[in-house]
Amino acid sequence: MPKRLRVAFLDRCVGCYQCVLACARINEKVLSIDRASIRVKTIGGYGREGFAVVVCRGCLDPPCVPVCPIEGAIRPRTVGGGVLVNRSICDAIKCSHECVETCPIPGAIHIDEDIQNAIVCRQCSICTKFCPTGVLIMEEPTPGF
Amino acid sequence: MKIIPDRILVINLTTNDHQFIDGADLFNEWVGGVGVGINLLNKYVPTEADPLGSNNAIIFAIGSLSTFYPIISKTVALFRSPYTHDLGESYAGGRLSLALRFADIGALCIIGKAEKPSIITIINNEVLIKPAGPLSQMYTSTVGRILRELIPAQPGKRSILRIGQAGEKLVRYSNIVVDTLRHFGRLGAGAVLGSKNIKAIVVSGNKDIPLDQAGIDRKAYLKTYQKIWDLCVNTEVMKKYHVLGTPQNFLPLNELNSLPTKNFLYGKFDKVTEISGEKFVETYLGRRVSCNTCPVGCIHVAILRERYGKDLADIHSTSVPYDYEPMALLGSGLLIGDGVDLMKLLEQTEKYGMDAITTGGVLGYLAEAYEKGIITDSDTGGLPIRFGNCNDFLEVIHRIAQRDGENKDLYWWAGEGLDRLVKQYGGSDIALRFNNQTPAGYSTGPYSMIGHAIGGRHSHLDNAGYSLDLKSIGKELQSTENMMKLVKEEEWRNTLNSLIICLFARNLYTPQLVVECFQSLGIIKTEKELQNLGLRIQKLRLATKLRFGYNFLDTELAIPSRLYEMETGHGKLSKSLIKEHLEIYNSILIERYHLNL
Repeated sequence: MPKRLRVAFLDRCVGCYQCVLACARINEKVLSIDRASIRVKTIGGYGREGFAVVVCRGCLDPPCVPVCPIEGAIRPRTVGGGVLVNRSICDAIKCSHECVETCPIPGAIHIDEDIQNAIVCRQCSICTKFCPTGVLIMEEPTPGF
Repeated sequence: MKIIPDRILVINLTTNDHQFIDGADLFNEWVGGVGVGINLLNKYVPTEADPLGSNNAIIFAIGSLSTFYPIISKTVALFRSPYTHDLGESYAGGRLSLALRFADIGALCIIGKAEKPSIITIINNEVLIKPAGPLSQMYTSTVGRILRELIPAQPGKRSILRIGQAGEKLVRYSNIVVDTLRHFGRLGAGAVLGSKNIKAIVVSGNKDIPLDQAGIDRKAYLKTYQKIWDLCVNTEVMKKYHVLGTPQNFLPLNELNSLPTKNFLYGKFDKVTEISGEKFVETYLGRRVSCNTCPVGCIHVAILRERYGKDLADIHSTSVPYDYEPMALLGSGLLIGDGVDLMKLLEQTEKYGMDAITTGGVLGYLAEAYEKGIITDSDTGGLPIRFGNCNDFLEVIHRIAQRDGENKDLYWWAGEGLDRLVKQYGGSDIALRFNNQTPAGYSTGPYSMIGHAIGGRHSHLDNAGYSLDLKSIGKELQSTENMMKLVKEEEWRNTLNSLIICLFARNLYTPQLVVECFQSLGIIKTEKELQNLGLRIQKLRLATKLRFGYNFLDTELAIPSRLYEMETGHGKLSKSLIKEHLEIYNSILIERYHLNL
């Protein structure tokens, strides 16, 4: 069964940005923060109160898919939860960024202004391999509500 | 965006304008960091510059490999030091190198003086000078919180530098707090910003560097990255930094009679276990944090719980970053043998923005001077300054940070540092200092102290003499050979500091690995070139010190008398031993660096 990413042990995060840089470096072939599908942000200052990891939660019934006005731009993964964006079809100029607006996790999907595409995690697991403290894990999805 | 930074931002506060200039040649020749920064310092700071005048400059620089590989996370600040009056060179982690890299700024030069208290904001190419009046006298943590709201940014790309009240009051060893937990410390960078009317600098950028651009061998780059990652995370090389952190030094140094205790008189502290790395991890550690791109997580943050009222629940808590050297100087150095008291002292220096090591040295002098009657209640305004008494020291730190230039009392002079205190009140023999600098927490033997004396910025980080002491215990000292080891260590550190790699990773980033890092990015550098870079930078650093008036032959500066009374890991040090080594160094200055003394 394909797995999805879970931010399992957030309190362990040391804010090294290795997950962010690995995602951009390996998936996007770029040294960047913006192009990564995963983001780390501080809560109340650098390290005093801790960190938040912002990333797609790999929904089994992703609300970002039905609201997209561009046919074929975003679709659910066949199994395992989460979505895949077809970059040749997705065009952020032609829509109102409905996927971004609909997702209840602010920042889990964002628009990259250079390539005008929705950037969202595709559950590849690269980030888990560059987390030094085991914050991120891949696990088989279980239904919620 | 290119691999090697090629843009330098120059901000003139006097004329309130800025320009981006081409730095490609400078970065190609000097790699970055201290190599580039020292050239810019010599360009922008005239020989007659007043360290606290508008003709001083402060330069921040990153390196060619910054952000490309793990633990290449530092930024250097260069300025004429208001504390030593010569080379001001200081390093900080946090997110600044990441923010500068993604704003496509290799170096930032700030010259002139703003008319009123100001904040500098740099967001990619946009540079603004904003009023900072309402932020005056705020604690460094409060300024950070307000600026995070004032200047929103995308996650992970913003860095906030600020000074505290000590910087505003031009305390000569005030620091710049970087991203809450890190600092440009020791040499008075905070006072330099204060003298320029700059309360804070915010840097943010979101440019990208394509890894499929010409020159980069992407497969080789990913392979080299993975290799460094494995060394960091899956070997013992960096382990000591992420488990106990630097405070792991307490117990072994105490065992070796090398822990500075009671203003450097003794080498052992009977309450060492209470302030040790083990005690802090077991009792006070709240979390560990990393600088950007570093998976080590060496920044240990303790939770300080304090009661502010009479009710059981009248408790507030504060996060306090802790490292060995500040803990040694404010802990065993002052006979503070309680972890909570030590955290209170660390926090007090943190919120006012004062260098903790130097503050510890100044407090140590004051406590011993008070004990010996060199200063009395009439000097202190009725405040006792006693070893082991946390509340006395908290109050002294408060008064130094709030010092009043109109009323030049003890606290005003204390804000000037040890040399001026000694000149005003006497007691030179009890003020251990090298060109005004308090040595860090290593009473390990002759080479730690000689290292401070000869180091470009009189810091333990210049050449790690303490390491040579530990290796020399029980052996006959080979003076010429060992002096060359210190000299070559400082030169290689110049190379690391131009790249600009955290020195905790100095054993990981071998010359061969650095060559490979460049090669994977399509840049050819040989080991010999890199070694020679360190030598060339050292020549420039020494020439800069000479230009600013540092007297290499003044043995009074180099040999404080406390040096011969203190207990060290090599016993008490003899004058003849130190003299012999410094004479060897003077011949090295002439023969190796061709310095005209």
